Amino acid sequence: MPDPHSGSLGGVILHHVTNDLNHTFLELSFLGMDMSITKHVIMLWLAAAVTVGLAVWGTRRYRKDIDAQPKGLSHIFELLMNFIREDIVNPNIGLSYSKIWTPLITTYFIFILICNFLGMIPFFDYLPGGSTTVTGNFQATVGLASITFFSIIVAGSMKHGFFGYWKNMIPGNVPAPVLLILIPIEILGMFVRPFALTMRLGANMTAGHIGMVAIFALPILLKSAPIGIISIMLNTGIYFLEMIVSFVQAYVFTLLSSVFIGMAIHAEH
Amino acid sequence: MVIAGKILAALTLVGQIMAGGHEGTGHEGSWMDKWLLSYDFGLTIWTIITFFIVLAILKWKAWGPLINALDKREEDIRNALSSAEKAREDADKVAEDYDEMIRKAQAEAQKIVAESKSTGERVREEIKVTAEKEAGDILEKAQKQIQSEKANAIQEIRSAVVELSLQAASKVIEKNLDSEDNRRLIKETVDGIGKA
Repeated sequence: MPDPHSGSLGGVILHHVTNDLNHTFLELSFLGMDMSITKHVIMLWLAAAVTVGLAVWGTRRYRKDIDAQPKGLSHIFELLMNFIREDIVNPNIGLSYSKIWTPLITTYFIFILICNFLGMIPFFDYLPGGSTTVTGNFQATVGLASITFFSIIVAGSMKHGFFGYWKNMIPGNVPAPVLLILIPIEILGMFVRPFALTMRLGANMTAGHIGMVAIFALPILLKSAPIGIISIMLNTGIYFLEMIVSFVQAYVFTLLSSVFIGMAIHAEH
Repeated sequence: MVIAGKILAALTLVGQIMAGGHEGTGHEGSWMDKWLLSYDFGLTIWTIITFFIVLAILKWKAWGPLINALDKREEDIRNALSSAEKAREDADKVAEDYDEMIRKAQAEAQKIVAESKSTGERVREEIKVTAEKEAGDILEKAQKQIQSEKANAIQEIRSAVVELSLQAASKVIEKNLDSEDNRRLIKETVDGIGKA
């Protein structure tokens, strides 16, 4: 899909991995911020709708009957919920806080996973406005990571009290001169963690798409059909790799978020 | 080889384009700069809003009921296991009680048998003693009776002898000697016979 604004390959690739801000479906502004409905906002809502639809439909049995047996889709949700509770939330955040944080962590996983997967469906390229992968957009991952950022503060404040949480940032049993170095590091760490989350998810989801578009560009650049066949084969492989990456990145984001929240709760220096 | 060369050339070209970007695009600066520097803050806000709406709906409609169901099932399984354990313990206890009961019954039975044996022995002994005593009594009584019968018989025989003697004597002497003196005389004689 060649970009009308740029005839170069770089422009084509850029078009495929970024949100085209020049193409908006609805111009909106709120408190001076550009809240226009771009393609990524649409994809975000689509992912939200799919997430809510799947989850609500998949767990309908349990709303009717608390003793319901798993069947079909609810198997997957039971597995997912068990996995997240037993392997992510309980070891990192702790059993006593599991009830509070499991919904957030589970929603992270399934929402990010669906955003990642929706970005891999090529048909959404017919929707004008650029890339289809919301999670490949750093602005979206900043949103997700800032939820983690505030969750860390909320979790720490819930356990140690608002001032107690900030006091935990000061490590105990160290000489005063070391504190001069440690306190800035702790404060820096507070911001670095969500920043790393932002970059990891965004870059991983963008990289695969850049790679795939670049490989598809090879036969066009070289004007060669055999290379086209090779690039299709190569991209098929990369597509499967991307599916794994989608899972892994959703998992890593979820896991690290719960690790960070757990660190705020169990801040025993 | 030709294809490999072409791929190499293409990769170099792509690398150049992606690294620099200036040669490729020509307008509005590097696309890399545009990509990294343009900040669409609206999307961040939309992401946060959307995520929280999704979270709220899912917590209310999906995760809440799902977690409750899973917890309840876990609880049910735990209860079932503990009640099974309890039932097993109860059964063990009942079996133990039963064994105890059988043991007690056996002991009781043995005691009863021993008791009845000893009672039998005692009764036998008592009966024997009583029988012996009774036999002795009977014997004694019989002997006494015999003794008295014998005395009676001797008395009767004496009377008869007196009578017969008188009859014989009266016949002999043809005289009625039925006087008191004669009777006494004869009696003395007969008594003397008994003693002889």
